[in-house]
Amino acid sequence: MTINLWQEEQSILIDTHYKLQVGALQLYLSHLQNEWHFHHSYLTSDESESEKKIAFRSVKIIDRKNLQFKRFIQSNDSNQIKIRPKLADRSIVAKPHEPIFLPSKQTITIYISTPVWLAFFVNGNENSLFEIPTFELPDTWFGPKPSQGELCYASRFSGRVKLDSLPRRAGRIITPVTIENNGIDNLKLDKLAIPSDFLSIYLTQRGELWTPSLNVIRETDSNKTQVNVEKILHPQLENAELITKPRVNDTSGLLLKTINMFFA
Amino acid sequence: MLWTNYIYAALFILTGLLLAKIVSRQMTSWVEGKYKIKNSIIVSRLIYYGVLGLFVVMALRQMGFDLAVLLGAAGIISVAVGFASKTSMSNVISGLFLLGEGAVSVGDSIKVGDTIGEVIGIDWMAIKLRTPENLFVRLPNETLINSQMTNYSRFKIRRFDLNISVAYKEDLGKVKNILLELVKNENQCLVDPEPMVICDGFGDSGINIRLIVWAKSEEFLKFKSSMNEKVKAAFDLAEIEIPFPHLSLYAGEKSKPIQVKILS
Repeated sequence: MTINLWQEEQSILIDTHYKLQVGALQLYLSHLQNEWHFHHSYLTSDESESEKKIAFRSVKIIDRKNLQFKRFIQSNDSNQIKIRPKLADRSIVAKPHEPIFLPSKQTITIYISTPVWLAFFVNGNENSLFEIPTFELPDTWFGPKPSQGELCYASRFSGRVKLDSLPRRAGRIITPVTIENNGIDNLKLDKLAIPSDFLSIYLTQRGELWTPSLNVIRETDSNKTQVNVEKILHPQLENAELITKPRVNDTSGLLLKTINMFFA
Repeated sequence: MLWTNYIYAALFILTGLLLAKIVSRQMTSWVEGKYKIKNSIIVSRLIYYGVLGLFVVMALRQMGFDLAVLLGAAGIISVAVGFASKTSMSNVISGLFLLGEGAVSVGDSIKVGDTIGEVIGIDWMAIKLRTPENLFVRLPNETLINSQMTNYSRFKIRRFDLNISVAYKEDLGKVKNILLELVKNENQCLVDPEPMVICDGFGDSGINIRLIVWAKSEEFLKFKSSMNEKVKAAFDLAEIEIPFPHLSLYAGEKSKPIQVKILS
C-alpha cells in the first residue's frame, strides 16, 4: 500500500470517506459533490512514537470531535486524488539527543530521518490543494544571533551510523549526511540543519523515502565549511524512483543555511 | 549659420522631452520598488523637469544666451525659496535620510513616542500610520529623525518576558518545571533561542519569576495572550498560588495576635 499511495492516484467516489494514517497524522478525506473535505488531528506530540506503517482505508462515519477541518470546492468534479510526499517547507534543525563529537581527520555518514509532508492534488492539477505535515514540529531559529538567521523546524536525532539500526517508519524521510572534519580539533555536532528546500525525494524498491546525501566538509581552516548535495546517490537508492523534486533549484543559498551548525 | 543654431536648440528640446519621459518612468519604478514610496508622482515630476531643464539650458546655450545672468537669478530665487520652505525642506531631507537608512518600510509596525501603528505610506514629507484603533496618523519625517523609533517588525523573532509572582511558600523547582514543560509542549515557542526561567528577586508579596521565551514576531499579541492564559491554567492545575499584593501587620511580636476588643 505504501508504494501504491506514493505512485498512483486514488479513486474516491462521491459521498465516500477514507481514513489516512501516516506518522502521527490521522486524516479523513471526504468526497462530496464538487467538494473535498479534510478533517485531521495528531495522535501524539512525541516524535519517536509515530506509526511505523501507512494505513489508508474507507470508513463509513467520521467522528468530527476535536478534528481540524478544511473544505475545498471545485467546479469540475473528479474522483481522482493524488497524494505525494514532500519535505518540510522550511529547514529542519536536528539536534542529537546527546552531543556528538567527530575527531579530527575523520569522515562519517549519519542517517537522519524527518517527517513527511503530504501534498494533495486533484483534477490533475500541478499545484497541490494543500500540504500538511505528518508530525507537528515545533518552531526554532537557526542563525548566529536572533537578528540574523531564519525560522526553521526543530527535531531530534539519534545520530545513527549503521543503516541496519535505523528504525524504518513509513512516515519519515531518510537523509544521509556525510560529515568530513579536516580541522585540527574535534567537531562538536550540536545541531544540524537539513535544508529541506533543496532536496528531492526518492522512493526505493523497499518503499522507503530517501533524499540525496548531504555533504558537509569542514576545511583545514576550521572557520571554512563546504556544503553540497551529493550528485551520486546513496547505494540504497539503486533503482529508486524520483518522486518529488526540490522546492528550490538554486543551491547557492545552501551554504548559508547549514554553516552555522559548526558555530552553534 | 544662425538658423542651424535654432534647429539644434529645437532638437535639444525634443530630445530632452523624450529622454525626460523615459528616464522619469524608469527611475520612478525603481524608486517605488526599492523604497516602497507612494505618491511617486512627485518623484516622477522631479526627475522629468530636472532632465528637461538640463536640455533646455543646453538649447539656450546653443541659441547664444548668456547663462550667467540666468544662474544668478536662479541663485537669488533659491535662497528666498529656501528660507520660505525651511520646514518643508527639512522634512524632505529627513525623508531622504530615512529612505537611505532603511529603518522603516511600508507594513512595519512602529512606535514613535506614544504612537504605535502600521506604516501605510512613506512620502517625501511624512510617514503615514494606521493605529490599532484604525486611526490615521501623519508623522512628519523630521519628527521621526529626531525621535526614538521602535520597529516591531524588523526582525522575524521576538522575545517575550512573562513576569509573574508566586507565593513564598511555593517550591521554586516545581514552578520552574511546570513553566518549562508548558513551553516544551507549545510549538509556537521557539526551541532556540532556548527558553529560560529566572528568579528575579523577592517582592513584597511573593517571589518574582520571569519566563523568557522567543516566538515569531507576526501575531505576537495573540501569542502573548495565549501564553498568559496557559501559565495561569497550569498554575491553577498545580495549585500554585499567584499572590495578591498584601501586607502582614505585626503588633511587635509576630507570635502574639493583635488584641481586638468589641465595644457595645
